[in-house]
Parts: sequence; C-alpha cells; structure tokens
Amino acid sequence: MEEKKKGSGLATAFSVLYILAALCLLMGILGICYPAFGQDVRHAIGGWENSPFRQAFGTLADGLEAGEPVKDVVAESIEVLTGEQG
Amino acid sequence: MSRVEISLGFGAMLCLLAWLDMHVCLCFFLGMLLHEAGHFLMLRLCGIPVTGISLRFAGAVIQTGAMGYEQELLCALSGPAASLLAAGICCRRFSVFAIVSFCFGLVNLLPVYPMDGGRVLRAALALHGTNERTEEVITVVTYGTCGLLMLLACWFAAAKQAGLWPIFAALVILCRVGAANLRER
Repeated sequence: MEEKKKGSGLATAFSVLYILAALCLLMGILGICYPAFGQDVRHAIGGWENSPFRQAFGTLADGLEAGEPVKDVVAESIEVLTGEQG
Repeated sequence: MSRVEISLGFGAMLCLLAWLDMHVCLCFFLGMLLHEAGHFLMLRLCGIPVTGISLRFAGAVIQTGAMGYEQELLCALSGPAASLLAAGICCRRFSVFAIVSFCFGLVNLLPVYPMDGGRVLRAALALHGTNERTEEVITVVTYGTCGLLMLLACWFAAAKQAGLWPIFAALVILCRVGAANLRER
C-alpha cells in the first residue's frame, strides 16, 4: 500500500513536468506555424515588451554596461519595477 | 564520471527559452554550465566520486557517492558561489549574462530542499542538532519559502506583466520539492 502511494505521487510530480515539456514543444510549433498568434503567446509567457518587469531589466542591464555605480542602477531599476519612476 | 543524461524535457525547456529570447537562453545555458562546474570542481577537491549528471526539465542533477555533512555544505555552496562570482566578474561587459547568473545563484540559494540553499541549511542544522529536528525545520522552511515564492511569482505575473514564466519556474521548484520528499520517504 505504501509503495503504491509513493509510486503514484512520483508519477504525478513527473507528469506535471512532462505536461510542461509538451506545452513548450507545442508553443514552439505554434510560433512557427502561426506567427501572429505565436507572438501573443510569447508575450503571455515571456512578458510584454513595455512591461515594468522588462523595463526594469533593461534599466539594470544598460546601467551596468554604462559603468554606473551598481547601487544606483539597482535602486533605479527597483523604482522602475515598483512604478515610482517613468 | 560514468554517464551524462540529457532528457527530452531539458531540450524542450531550452527550445522554449530560445523562442522567448535567444540571448537570455544562451546566458541561461552558460550560467547553468558555470554553476554545475562550480559544484563539480568542489566535488573533485573533496575527493567525492561523481557517477553521473542528468540534465532535466527542472535543472541539472549531479549523482555522487556518499558524503558527510561538511562536504555536502561545501559542495552545495560552491555552485551558487560560482554563479555569483561570474556575475560579479561579468557585470560591466556582459550585463545580461551577469543578471541571469546572479538570479541563478540567488534562486539556488533559496532555503528550499533539494536545491542548494536547502542542502546547505540541512547540512548546517544536522551538524548541530538531531535528525528529527533538522527534518522538521527543513520541511517548514521549504514549504514556507515555496509559498512565498508562488505569491511573488503571481505578483510579478499579474501586477508587473512579467508573463507566466515566473509561475512556471515556481511550479518547477515545487515539483522538485515534492519529488525529492517522495523519493526520500
């Protein structure tokens, strides 16, 4: 009884991972066959181009490459993320 | 090392990342290699045999021989240390890689067993306390952190339009926790 429970639990955990893997493949095929719909799905999964998250990521990456002090760049990125700026 | 196993899920995860953002995908793959290299180096320094490495959807798993708590603590810390070091070195020239590597190190340091942070916490607790107490603390901290992580992922997805990937990532971590618990039971 214990063994059966253990096996089924593991199978459930791995099933979730396999479903995610299958979803990834499906999204990839969708992106090739239906580019416009694929673009919408890409935004839904990866985030919208002008979203606060992407803007904060861009601010951080650009600031670091520009040689600005890390503390200032991080503070600025957090402000962009929380919506206190821009 | 006897075998390297690459699962279909790992390939699918890389394909998805590449489709979302090729640059981030390359940085993620490089960051992961560096992270595992950090673990591998410390395992060799400690003289622990590495029997295999599996690259799966939920990340890489290194199969090793038996090790003590001090060795486990050092080996678990070496991966995130390599990621954070790489982030520090590359932050001015390859900022995207630095951010990805920093996040990789930080996520792996979360006190969630079986991730690196959880292993460090478990080894540190086991060195100073009983096994029962250690398991109790690890269970509470792991599920507490997973809950907070899921809330944070939902906040990023809903309030900051970060997309669904933070929720996927939190789900994958939760699956790893569940699978590890069932395997050890």
